[in-house]
Amino acid sequence: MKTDYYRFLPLAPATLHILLALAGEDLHGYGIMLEVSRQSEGRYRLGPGTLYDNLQRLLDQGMVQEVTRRPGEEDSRRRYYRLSSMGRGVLSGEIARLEGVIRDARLCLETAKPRRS
Amino acid sequence: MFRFFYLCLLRLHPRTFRQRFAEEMVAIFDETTGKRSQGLLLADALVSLGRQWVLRRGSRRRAFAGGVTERSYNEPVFHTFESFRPHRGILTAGAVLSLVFFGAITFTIGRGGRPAELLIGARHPRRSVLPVQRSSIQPADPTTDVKIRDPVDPWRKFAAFYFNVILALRALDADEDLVISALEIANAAASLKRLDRDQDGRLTPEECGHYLGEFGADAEMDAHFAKLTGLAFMRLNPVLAALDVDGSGEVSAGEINGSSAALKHLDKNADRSLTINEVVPERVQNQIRRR
Repeated sequence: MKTDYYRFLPLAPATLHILLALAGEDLHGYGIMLEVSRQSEGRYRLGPGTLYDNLQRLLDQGMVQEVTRRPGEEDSRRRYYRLSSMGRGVLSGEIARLEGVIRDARLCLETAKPRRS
Repeated sequence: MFRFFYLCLLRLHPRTFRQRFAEEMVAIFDETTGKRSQGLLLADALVSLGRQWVLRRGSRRRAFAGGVTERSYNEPVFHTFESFRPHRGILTAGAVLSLVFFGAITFTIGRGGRPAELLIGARHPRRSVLPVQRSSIQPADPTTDVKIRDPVDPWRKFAAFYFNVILALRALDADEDLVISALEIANAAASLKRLDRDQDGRLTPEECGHYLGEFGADAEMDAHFAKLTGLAFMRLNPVLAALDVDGSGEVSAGEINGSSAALKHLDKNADRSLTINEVVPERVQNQIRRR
């Protein structure tokens, strides 16, 4: 059965950043925070409260899965999260939506005539 | 210290959230260095606390109710209509608080029916009741004698009736406190003269309060009988008997002038005033006590 990803869209900024951070590799919570900060070049910082509130929702919705701990992990308190196929689909849908928005925005800006003062 | 507060804030989070993420949040806190960063984490935990309890309550309840569906997070939380049942402990605490509050109100109402009894002044006169010694404050004996009525005196109701019926007592008791004080005894002559309606200089039993009712209006009534009843009236009441020194059945002008001295003889307890037990006949007192 085909999943309707579009009903989750548009994504909130925090959700989008978390999914983007997990798109590359499995990460623990602190790793997600660092990755979000890196991807946004330090302009968007997630607090643990916001992060785990979103993670809880994403876990419940099935977009993110918790994976078993990596062998050799120093801190046993850490849990790793992975983007599920559904999460990947939702992320792809959101990116496509954003691409459309950007395309339309560029089109509008290019065709817009400068106003006379 | 920051870590302690952070743990406290996490402890206040909902149980499901706490069990799932608290360890990781503490791990992140431990990774963070610098007081500013830790302060920001504290603020973040505080915001998270409010968010979990206020915004995520509906979602949590749905999760408890029967598995979480994807649809549940697409609905705004204010669209959920669920039968909320308070925790049993909260209901118990509410019941106890209600009982305590009800008891306090009942106690207050019960105590509020009677005005507070206050004692003004000192029972035993002292040279000075002020604990300071200054030249501007001269020690002085109290000049005002403050008397507090006994609110539980069973005689009071009867005394009010008796003083109202016996006109001589009503005249003597100028301040209507049902006690003939030393001052009122001293002014007894002037008070009694006001009872002399016919201005003949003497007080008859009728002027002192003797009243025969419908018999008094009977013109054919034996004058001798009327005199006997008047004489009995004057002798029965201790105050009138004391005033009528010669036992004539009337208080003459001379007896009125000497009324203060006569009344002082009734002061059995030497408190310089006449109270109800000193002005009511002993026979009447015994009848009242038997009731």
